[in-house]
Amino acid sequence: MVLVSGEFGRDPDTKEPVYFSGDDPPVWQRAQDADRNIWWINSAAPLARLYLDTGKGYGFESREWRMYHLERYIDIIVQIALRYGPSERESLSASEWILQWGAKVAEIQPAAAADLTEFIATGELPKV
Amino acid sequence: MQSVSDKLLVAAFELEEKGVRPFSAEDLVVAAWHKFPDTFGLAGYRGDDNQLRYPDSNRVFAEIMGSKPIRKRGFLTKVGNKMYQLTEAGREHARQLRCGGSEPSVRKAGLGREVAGQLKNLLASRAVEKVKNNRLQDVTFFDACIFWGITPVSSAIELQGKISNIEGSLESARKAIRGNMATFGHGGQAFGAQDLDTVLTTHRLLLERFRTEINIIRQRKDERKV
Repeated sequence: MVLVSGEFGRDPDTKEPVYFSGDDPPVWQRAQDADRNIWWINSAAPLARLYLDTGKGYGFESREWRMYHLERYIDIIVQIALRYGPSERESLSASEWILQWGAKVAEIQPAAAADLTEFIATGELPKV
Repeated sequence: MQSVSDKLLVAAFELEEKGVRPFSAEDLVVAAWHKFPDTFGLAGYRGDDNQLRYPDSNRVFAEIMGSKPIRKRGFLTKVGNKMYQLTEAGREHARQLRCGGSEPSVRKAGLGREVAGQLKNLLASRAVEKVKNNRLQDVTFFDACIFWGITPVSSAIELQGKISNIEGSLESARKAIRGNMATFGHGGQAFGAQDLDTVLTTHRLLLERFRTEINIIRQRKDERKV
């Protein structure tokens, strides 16, 4: 489950909002989220804050936020794929990690580009 | 006391002794010029007493903003926009310079590569930086994860291993330096017992602050990736 922190999403069990800091990564989990497969898009991250700012012409309904949201969604998918993939027990060097990360993103982006053009433009999710 | 870096360090130390901590780059420009006008004065403008009449800010900025020894050796740390303060290693070094007037005996700690690397990372970590600057409330679980080298999905055994490892490394370093100042390598960043205390204090504060998260991880039985 992917949620947006701050006023936009609540912990499904406690029903409480979850707040992160601008110092935290753009996508993050608490220890209690990891066991429930919950991921958060950190609305306090500087770019997220910008794209959620209605005063600057953006906001939760804006196309810019949808693009940002989608990119972070891909980040999460890649992190999950790498964490639980075949090389999860290996200790990778930075260069190997970059290669694996790049390969996963290259794998996922074509599907996102093909299926989610409409979502980015209008906010409508494709019918499945 | 020979080098520009040593003179600047002593000037900064004396500023802090006057209660100016942290100090601005401009505070240091003026203090350094007052203390060592021949070194930090603006060339070409001498008064009747033949002293350089104005401070040369570029001389000081070049020392504190680049990778010159005062920064490279970890004696001075930036704590805000053009705001600085000395590290404990810097203060100790300045005390020795002022008393002895010669290069203090800061020796290589002789730590193993792994322990030295881990200590360097801990000393430079965001958690330690925030604790040193009285910003404990700004320390996040992410900072703690970096400090300990864990992730939110780490297993109990991994967490325990990392914690023991940090405590062991701090103990090894303490024994190695025997209360003196030391460096990781020749001419490298200096650290002392007080720096090790700061890391240990940070470690304990993080354990207390993130007790909930730590308890969740400690209850895990399975092996996960760190």
